[in-house]
Amino acid sequence: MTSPLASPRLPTVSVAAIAWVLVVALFILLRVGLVWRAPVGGAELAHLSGAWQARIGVEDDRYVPTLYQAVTALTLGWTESEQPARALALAGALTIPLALFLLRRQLGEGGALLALLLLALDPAGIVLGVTATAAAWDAAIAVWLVVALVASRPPPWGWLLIAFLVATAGPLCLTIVLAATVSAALHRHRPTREAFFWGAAGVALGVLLMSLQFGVDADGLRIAAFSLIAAGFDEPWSTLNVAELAALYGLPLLGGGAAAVAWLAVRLRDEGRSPTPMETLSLGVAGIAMVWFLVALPTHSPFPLAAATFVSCLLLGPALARLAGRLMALTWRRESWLLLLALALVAIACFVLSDWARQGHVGGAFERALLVVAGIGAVTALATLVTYRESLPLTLLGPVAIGGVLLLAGSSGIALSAAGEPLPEPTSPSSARAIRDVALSANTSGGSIVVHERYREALTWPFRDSGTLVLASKVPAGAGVVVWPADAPPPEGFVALDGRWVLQRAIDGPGGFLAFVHWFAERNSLDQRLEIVAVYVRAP
Amino acid sequence: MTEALAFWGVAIVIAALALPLAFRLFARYPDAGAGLSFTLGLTLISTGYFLIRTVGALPAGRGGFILAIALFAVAMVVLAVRDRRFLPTLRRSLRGITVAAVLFSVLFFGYAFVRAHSPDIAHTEQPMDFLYLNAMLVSPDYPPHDPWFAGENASYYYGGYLQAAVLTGASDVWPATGFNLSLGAVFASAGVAVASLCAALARWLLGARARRWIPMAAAGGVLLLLFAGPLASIFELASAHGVSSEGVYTAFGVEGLVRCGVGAGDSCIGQPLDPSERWFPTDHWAWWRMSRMSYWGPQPGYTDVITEVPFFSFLLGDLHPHVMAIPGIILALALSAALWRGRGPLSWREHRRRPLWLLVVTLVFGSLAFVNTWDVITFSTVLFAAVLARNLRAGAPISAITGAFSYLAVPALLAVAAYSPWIVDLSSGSVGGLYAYSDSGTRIRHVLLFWGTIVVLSLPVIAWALPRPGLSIRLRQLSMAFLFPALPFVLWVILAAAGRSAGVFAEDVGFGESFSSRGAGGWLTLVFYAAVLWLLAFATIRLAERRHPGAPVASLATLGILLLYGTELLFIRDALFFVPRHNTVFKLSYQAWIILSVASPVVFVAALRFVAPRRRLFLAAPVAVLLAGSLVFAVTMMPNRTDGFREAVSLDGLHFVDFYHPDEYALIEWLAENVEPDAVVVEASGRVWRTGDEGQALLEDPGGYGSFGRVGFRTGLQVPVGWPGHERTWRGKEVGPEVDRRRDLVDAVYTASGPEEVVRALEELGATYVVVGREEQERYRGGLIPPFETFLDTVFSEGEVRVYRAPTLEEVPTR
Repeated sequence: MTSPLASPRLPTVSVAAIAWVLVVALFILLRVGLVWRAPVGGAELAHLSGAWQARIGVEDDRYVPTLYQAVTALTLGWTESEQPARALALAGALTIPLALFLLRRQLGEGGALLALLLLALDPAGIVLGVTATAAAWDAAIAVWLVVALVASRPPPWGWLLIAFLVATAGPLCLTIVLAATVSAALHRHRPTREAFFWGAAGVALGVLLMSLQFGVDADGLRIAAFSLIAAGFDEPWSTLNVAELAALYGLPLLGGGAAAVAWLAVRLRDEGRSPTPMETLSLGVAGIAMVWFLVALPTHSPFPLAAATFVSCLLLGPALARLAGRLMALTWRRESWLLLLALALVAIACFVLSDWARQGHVGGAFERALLVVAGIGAVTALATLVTYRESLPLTLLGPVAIGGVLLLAGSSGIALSAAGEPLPEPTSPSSARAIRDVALSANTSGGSIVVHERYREALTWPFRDSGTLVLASKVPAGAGVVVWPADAPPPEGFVALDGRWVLQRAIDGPGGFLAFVHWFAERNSLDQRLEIVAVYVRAP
Repeated sequence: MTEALAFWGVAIVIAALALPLAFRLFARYPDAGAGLSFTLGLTLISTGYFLIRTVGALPAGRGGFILAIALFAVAMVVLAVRDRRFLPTLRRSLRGITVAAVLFSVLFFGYAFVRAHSPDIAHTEQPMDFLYLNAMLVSPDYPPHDPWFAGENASYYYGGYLQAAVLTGASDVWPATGFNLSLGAVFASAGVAVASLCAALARWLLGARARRWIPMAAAGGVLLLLFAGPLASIFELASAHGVSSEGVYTAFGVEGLVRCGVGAGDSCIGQPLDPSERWFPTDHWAWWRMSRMSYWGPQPGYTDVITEVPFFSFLLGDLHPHVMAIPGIILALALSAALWRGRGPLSWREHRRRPLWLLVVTLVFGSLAFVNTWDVITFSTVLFAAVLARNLRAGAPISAITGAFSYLAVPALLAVAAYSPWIVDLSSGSVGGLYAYSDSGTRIRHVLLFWGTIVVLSLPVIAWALPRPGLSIRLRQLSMAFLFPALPFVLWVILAAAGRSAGVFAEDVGFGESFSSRGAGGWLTLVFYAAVLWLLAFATIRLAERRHPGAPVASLATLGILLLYGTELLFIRDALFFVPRHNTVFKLSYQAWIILSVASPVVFVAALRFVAPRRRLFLAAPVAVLLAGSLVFAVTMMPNRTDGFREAVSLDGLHFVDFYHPDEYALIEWLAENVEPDAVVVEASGRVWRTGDEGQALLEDPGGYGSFGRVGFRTGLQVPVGWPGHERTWRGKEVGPEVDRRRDLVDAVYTASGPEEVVRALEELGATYVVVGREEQERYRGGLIPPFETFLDTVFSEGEVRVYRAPTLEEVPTR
């Protein structure tokens, strides 16, 4: 018999709920600050420039008519700041946790949670999810499309909105659509006639609006996703190429994703079952994204990397959850000291390497011997673990730990000190806007502000809302202020304004393995290339 | 090597992607169509790319090509997963797929190896071919622009260049290397395609029990199509070693190949050349003589007709429509054969049941016109014949004919619609109507020395139709067959009587003269062709009526001979009217070679199979001799073309420019990298000018062929005017005044007396850039070129080459 005076039962909160709250908080924390702090650079610089041109009615290839680009152009009509557009991008990104929550049944509770954690930490995803590139809403729309395809049954008319959003989104959504087409064929799934009708209407509406460039211009049929993929092969949307970006920011997720695909394939074979729709879709997207990523390795666009890491997160989350389950089942007696030994030896090797990296050269014979011994020892310890069949999952802890450290370093670097990272680059620094302010204030003669034609594209964003400029290759007669290459001879009749005027900045990647380790230990160690201009005013 | 691997990789990926479709279409082929899958995939991808680019949904650049391949890939994967027979077919045809992949790779890299020893894009019409490849790659809008006529769309059949561009663009290969690798891809894809088709025809003809004979037919197809050449090469080789009896050579009509020695006087009946010091002929371009029968006879150098074989084209490095069309032609033949082989009558209703066939027939046959317009008539006729033959097996003649028409009408209409963006830009130039050929014709000895092997190999098919117990000859069949040689001749008589006839430099030849001008040799050739044609047509009708599986092979042999016979009687009028049948013989005899390369090996292998084993040697030995004779051309002329493989150079077709004029090469690189694709660049017009006594510009030479127009053809950027003669051929004579106006304006830029004149001319041309390189310095001599650096921006400077740009001065709104 219970006492009527017994205290009421406290509401219980599951560990999973706490984990969800923590991961969502991390997801938000790693992004919110970037709305104010991230430099305008890379694809965002190009697309903000395009959106600005669209807003003032100038035709420009940098305006890619995704729905988000159109909205960005709209926000630039209210304010010349990029922050409202970024806030909208962030708003889209913040719906991702909810979508992952809805995918628990397909990914598993732990799988969905870990997938969200990885998405939260994905450096490329952080940058492209918050900055105002044309594909800023891609990840959000893509993950909701996955929800609509495998986890929920939207009403037929709902496909109007879904199809419209997907049609007017960027390349990531296209990979999902293509994979979904294959998946539907494989599972013999056909949409209902009504859903098909509404979906087709949504696509038609999207294509129509994109072709009209959301009211800016009409120039043939336009599909923004095609434009972004195709332009990514030619445009310099990143100082580093895709291979270099992947080496700096994507290795843990890409490697983990590849391993997850392999493991899934082995499990499907061992269990003798067909893949679920979610697995088919994930594998399809992974295949398409990986081909895109590999083909685009030498190009300078962050989008292929973001697509590959996005799908890697969806695949790796459930795989890590399964791995964690296996690890929990271990007895951890003999395994623990072997693992500790291996980790200790790896740590020694890392110390030696980081020391070399700091010094910029390989150390002496003793250090080399130490590195070799530590390396061999770590491998031997792990190999010994492998001999115990039940301990096999433990060997994966090493790569997981190293990958985790690399991932954390990348995401924290992006989230906390974005201005010093090679992603996004090249950037338009605040001094570029200062050049514009100086040019406007120094133009007291009433002449025109003349900018060298070499800076045709670089001037759009920092010189926005500056009246009418003159773009020239030779200084015209009526010039009042001249923004000219610093290495060109000064124009006659003008005097230079003192100052170090940086119009654009690019950060080079670390050259070589030791430089990479050095950069890993000390983030501000990379070389910068500055586009320095001279500002001249007409001599009194 | 990396570029070759990337290019090959893209080709293999396309071939692999197209397998699900090939399996559907060619399920009855021994390799399930694996040998045809590359051509099939490339045809569909390039057409899809063309259509999507034309509506504006794909931007220019590498990404567009890759996207087109990706969309095709998804379609093919969907097709594969929906097809329950895909995996069983894949397992069944794994050997065929492996053989096709290995054969493709061997042919591709083998050709690339040979081509790397003579890679230059420098002579004949190669610049024009390179022009169109570059236009496909860099054109900012589609339909693509004509780089040699700024502001206008290309007016030519450029489908083959588009296919080459898909491979070059997707593999991100330097275009001048892509040019040579595209040739390799055509060579390899033609080889695997003909092997696949010959294997299928042999398999159907010989039955399942004679499997071991099938590879022989396939190998024969590859040999005849890609490596065989004129038997006259034997005489060329003999004379190169000093064995050249005038009497013998004259008897065979090849006295022009006799080597009289350097310095021989007017008494020389052949070439003023010494015997070769090496085992192969070493004189410059000896291989060229095999494509011009006029070199064989007593009047060397006078070219009436061009008769090429594919090996010649590949040796030359001729990325021309008739060469790029070879794989597509074989694919069209294979589709026709597959349709013929199927069961049940065909009519328009069939398209509702099999929309995939409709799509493929539409695009493959439409693409024939897109790649080489000459082919569409011939091979659409083959398709019609195949459908008709199938319908005749199933029903009455009237319903068979109406069914065939209705079946083909739908894809024909769709093809016109699909390719309409290209068709509307295509000017007919000065092509107009069918004419009677009234001149001496081809000498019978030359006919035998050129087509002897390939014709003789196809003749055994006649034996299958000969009377035997229970199978007598019917007069109706003989009469019907007689129509094949008779009708073209009647048409010739009618045209000649109507005055629509011409000979070399002789228009409107009289009726009587039409007969007399041919001479005994010409009539003998006609009689030979007519007799062979009659017999082959008879065999075809007989076999078709018996539903014999040899009917398609017999009909191909008939068609091959009909084309050769037809070119002796009729021709299509074009810009080269003064050498009337020049193009007709060139194009149609090339088709005939391809067709006979398919039919002959199958016929011969079947004959070998059917003959009693003890008699096989009597059949095989002479044919082996003939074949060996046909291969002399390839074996001896490959080292001639490559200078004995002394030095591997490069696959870069502009390597010679880099070697001799690195500044010109740097110019091309700079232009490709830095100039906007829609900009107009001014370069030399082709005319040569010099300074007069009073400092004025005087025209010295109006110009002809040459390396002018090099900015256009080496970069694909638009220049005001390139090769004037070609523009007139492509667009008709009406364009002449505009060509001249543009040349005048270009000359005005380079000979102007002041900046205003230059700027005015540039504005009129819509041009932004002016190039001053070696061509310009050679063509505007004596200090004619104005000091551009004083009033234009110098944007490129290397060695003696400069690029100037009109100064930028524009207002840019920022709010």
